[in-house]
Amino acid sequence: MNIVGICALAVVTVILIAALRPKNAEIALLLGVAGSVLILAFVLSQAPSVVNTVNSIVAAAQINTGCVAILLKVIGICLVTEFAANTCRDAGSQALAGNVSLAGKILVTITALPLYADILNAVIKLLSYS
Amino acid sequence: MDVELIFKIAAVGIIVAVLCQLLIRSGREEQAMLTSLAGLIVVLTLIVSQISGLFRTIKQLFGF
Repeated sequence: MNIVGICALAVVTVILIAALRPKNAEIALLLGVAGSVLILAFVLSQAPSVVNTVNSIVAAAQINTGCVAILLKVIGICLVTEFAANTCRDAGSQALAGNVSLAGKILVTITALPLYADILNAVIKLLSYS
Repeated sequence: MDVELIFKIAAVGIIVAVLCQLLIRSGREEQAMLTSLAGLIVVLTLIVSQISGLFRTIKQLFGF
């Protein structure tokens, strides 16, 4: 399945949701969740090639692999957070969506904290040269 | 990728909606509510395994 299939799946799902919503709102919501889960699962099944390419480039350039691990972890946190926030927004509870988004931002900052120490060390090293 | 899941959930939703209408028309509100609840649980059991698979994929991919 390619992007055409994904778009067709989304359109069919949204038509079914629109048909189902006045009668049975809960199952319409779950239908939306199922559609987004299917699309994401399909897209992520093709993502390992991207991760492998990034890892090989980093290994060839001899950059510290800890940075790349943190980067990938941050991408994963963003993905999960956005999924949950979009689902909450779909169900009509904006406050929950906003709070999940906020929690994601804070966790991204916490995950990226070791990089700040790296940046500070680099700055100190540069200053000691001058 | 199983697109049948979408149609399965939509079919469950339509059947539950029709059953609810029938039961409400014949004056059995409690059974209508229970039918709606049963449909919701059936759809949830269909979806939960998919969601857990998605989250497992994300964990594997991004090294949590």
